[in-house]
Amino acid sequence: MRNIFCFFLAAFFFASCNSKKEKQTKKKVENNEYTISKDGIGDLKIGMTEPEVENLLNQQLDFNAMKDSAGYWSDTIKTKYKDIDVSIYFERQYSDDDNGIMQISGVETTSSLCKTSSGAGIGDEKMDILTGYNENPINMGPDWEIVNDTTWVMSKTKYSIYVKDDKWDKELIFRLTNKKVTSLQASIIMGD
Amino acid sequence: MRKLLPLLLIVLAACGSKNDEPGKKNVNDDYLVTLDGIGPVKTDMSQGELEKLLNKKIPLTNPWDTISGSWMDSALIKYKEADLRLTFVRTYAYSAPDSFHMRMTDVETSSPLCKTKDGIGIGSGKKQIIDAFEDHLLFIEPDYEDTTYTTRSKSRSTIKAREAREGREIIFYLKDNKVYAIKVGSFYDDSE
Repeated sequence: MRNIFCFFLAAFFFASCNSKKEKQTKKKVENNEYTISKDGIGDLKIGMTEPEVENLLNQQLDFNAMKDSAGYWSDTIKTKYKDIDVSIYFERQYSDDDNGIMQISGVETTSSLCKTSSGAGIGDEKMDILTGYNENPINMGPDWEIVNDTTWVMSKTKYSIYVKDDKWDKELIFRLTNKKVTSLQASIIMGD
Repeated sequence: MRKLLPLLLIVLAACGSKNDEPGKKNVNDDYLVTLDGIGPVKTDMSQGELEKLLNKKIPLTNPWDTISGSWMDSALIKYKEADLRLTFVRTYAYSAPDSFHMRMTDVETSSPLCKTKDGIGIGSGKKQIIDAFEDHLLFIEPDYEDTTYTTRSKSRSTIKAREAREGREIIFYLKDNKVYAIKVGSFYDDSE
C-alpha cells in the first residue's frame, strides 16, 4: 500500500517538474534571434528590399524567375539566415520611382530553432499555438488537395493555422502534418 | 494508509468521468445541432413551414409594419423544452410584385439540451470544439470590449465552424472559455 502511495506521489512530482521545465523553455525563447512574428524572422523582415536582404545575408540573391523572358512578379529564394534554412518569398513592387524592386512578401522555415514569442515551434500541436494567441483572430482548417482539374478535397493529414491581428496586413502561418507543426511562416495577407 | 487508497481511487474516478463528458455523444435528434439547424428547425424554412412544424404561430410583427419598412424580424419561441431565438428576413417572390414570405436565416439557443453529434453544447470548451470540428474550417475571434472596436476581449470569443469559406455555419459563443450560446446560420462575403 505504501508503494502505491509513493508511486502516486512520484507521479505528481514528475508531472509538476515537467510542466515547470516546459514553461522555462518557452520563456527562454523570448529574446531568441530566430523569433518569428508576423513581421518576419529575427532581422529578416517583410518589406525588406532585395539590396537590404543581400546586405543582411551578405550574399548575392539569384532570382531564377528573372531569367524568364516572359517577365515575372514573384520569386522564392531558399537560403540560410544565420544557422537556419529559410525560404524567402519576394514580390515585385511597382511604382514610378523604385523601378519595380523586389521586396520580401513572406519568410518560411522548418527549423526547430525558430519559435514564436510564446515558445511555439516545430513539433508543437494546435493548442500549443492557440494558447499563445488568445487575443488574435485565427483561421484554421485542413488544407485543400487537388484530385483533378475540377475536384478539390480536404486533406486528412495537412492542416494550416493563420494567426492575424487587427491591422489585417500580415499573418503568421503554422503548417501542420499529422497534427504537428512542420513549418512556420510570416506573410503579408494575400487577398482572395 | 489503507484508508487513503479508496479516497485516491474516488478522486481518480471523478477526474476520469469529467474527461468523459466532452466525448458524450448526443443521441437526442430533437435537439441535434447541425449546419442545417437545430433538430427539425432548419434554416431557410419559411414562417409557414415552421408554424406547421411547431404547431404554433410565430409572433412576427415587422412584415406588416408598412411605416418603417423593416425587412428583418426575430421571435423567441419554445421548441419542446428549449428556448430558441429565430431570425427572419423578407424573401420576395418573382411571381408577383410586393409578394414575399418571411424566411428563417438563423436559430440561436442557450439551452443545454442542444448539442452537436459529438456532444458539443453549452459548457463545452474551446479545445473540445476544435477537436470535434477537425475536418471543418474554424474561424476563432475574440470579441471586442467596446463599441469602437479597438480593444479585444480577454474573456469572450466566438468560434465559427464551416465546411467552406462561405456557406452554412455553426457559431459557438464562449465566455471564459465555455460555450454559453450556439447559433446556426450562414455566411456570405459581401465584399466580393
